[in-house]
Amino acid sequence: MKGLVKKAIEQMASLSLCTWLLAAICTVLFLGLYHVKGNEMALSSLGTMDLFEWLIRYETIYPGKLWWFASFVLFVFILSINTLFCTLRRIRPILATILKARETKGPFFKRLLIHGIHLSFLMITLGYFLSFTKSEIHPSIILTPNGPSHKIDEDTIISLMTLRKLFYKGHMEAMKGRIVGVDATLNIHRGKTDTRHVLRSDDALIIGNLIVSIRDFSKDPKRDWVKIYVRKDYGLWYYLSGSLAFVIISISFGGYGLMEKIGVGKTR
Amino acid sequence: MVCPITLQIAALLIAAGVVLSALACVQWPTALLFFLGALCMGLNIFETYIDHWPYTPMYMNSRLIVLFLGTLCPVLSLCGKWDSKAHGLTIGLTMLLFTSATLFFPKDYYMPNIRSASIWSHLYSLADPLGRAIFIASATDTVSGNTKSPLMELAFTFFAIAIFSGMLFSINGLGTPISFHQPEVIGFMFIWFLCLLISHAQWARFRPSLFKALNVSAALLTILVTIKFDLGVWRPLW
Repeated sequence: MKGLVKKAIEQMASLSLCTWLLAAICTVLFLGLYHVKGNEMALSSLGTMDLFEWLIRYETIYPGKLWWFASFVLFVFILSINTLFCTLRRIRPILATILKARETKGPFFKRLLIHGIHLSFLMITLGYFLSFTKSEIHPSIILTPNGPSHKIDEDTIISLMTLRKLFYKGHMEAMKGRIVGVDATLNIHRGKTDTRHVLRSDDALIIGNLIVSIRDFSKDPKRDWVKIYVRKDYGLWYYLSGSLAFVIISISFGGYGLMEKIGVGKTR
Repeated sequence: MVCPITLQIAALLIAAGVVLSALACVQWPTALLFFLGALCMGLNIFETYIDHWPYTPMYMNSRLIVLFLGTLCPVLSLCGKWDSKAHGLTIGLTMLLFTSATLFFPKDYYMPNIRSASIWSHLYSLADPLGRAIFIASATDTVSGNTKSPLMELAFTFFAIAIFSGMLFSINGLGTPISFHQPEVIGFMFIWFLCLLISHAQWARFRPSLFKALNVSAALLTILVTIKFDLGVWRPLW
């Protein structure tokens, strides 16, 4: 029994399983490229509902059209387990060797960076999983200046104070005179405090795990309203910190590989 | 309106470089011709950026890949890694394909995306094609016999920067970390997973010929997917 478990763990951590899973993901994404057109509405509604609910609803409405996305989610899930097992199995001996030899260079250091990339990838996938399964979403809140406020949850109430329309200032003749964005001053009541924040069309507001962004606004100079999208995202800090770590470790990994090839830092 | 003359000169210079590579009688002039072609493309890109500023111009991947590949040529040449026949033909033909696609099927008839005036959008639009260009060049390296190309690690790094900046661009513009309804996003994810596949296949026990075939197929698929989204209707820019 113990041998069987050990063999299963080794299989789950294997490089060949990872390679096959990556090949499968590439295949479903390539097929998916040709299925996105015509299914944009269904796919965009992923931003407004729970992933499992979405899978059940849309797989029944459009059977055979979104199977690639369901397969993609499944393969990424198995890939995450494979990555976790791979890192858990290999990181201990690497750390032990590095600590014993007290070296911060060489092949072991490079392998450590690879597992750092694995861990940050896992943070991103965990963050996305929480984001697409646990988030509380208010997809379409229409606010008017000094109009009624909107309750997000027990603690948070949002209202619009002022709205300033922004006109196009670039070089394109066809765009001149057009309203291209808004500066919306929001009053956010959280707990017992009121704070004012300026929200722009291309700059969302992040407060704790709350993302507030502008989805639409009135292009008519005489009318003032703004449609906002609020997402209480429980995975936000996981995927943000995961992707930041992913970038930093990847830059170190790429830079280290390049220096290794050029021969910088080599001792005789 | 962006002047197409820089595109036409770029196409001619790159075509001349490809012919010289095919003859394989000269070494560095081919790299120089590709670099000059890339410079002309750079001027065209600069003009497009000025035209769209502060927004990020769209469908620029093909043009930016030509710029980055052409800039890589003299670097490889100076490092003594330039193989005129292998690099010249593969990189040159890729550059010529992208330039011709832009010249004959331009996709420059759109209104700017008003959510793309952020630093994250600009960073994403540069890091993504840079990663793609280096990924394509790494396949060329593999064809020349270097199965563990450092370019692959560099491509991975730029893709990581693109993932981070793309995520922030999406959060700021749409409020979600990723939007699956945009085919361009699925295309980027496809190329990123291809890069992951090749970098893992380097360590798996593949036969060298199989690995080479896999790497070249990945580069060809990257070119195909990039061109697919940047291709407009037949409208030669004369």
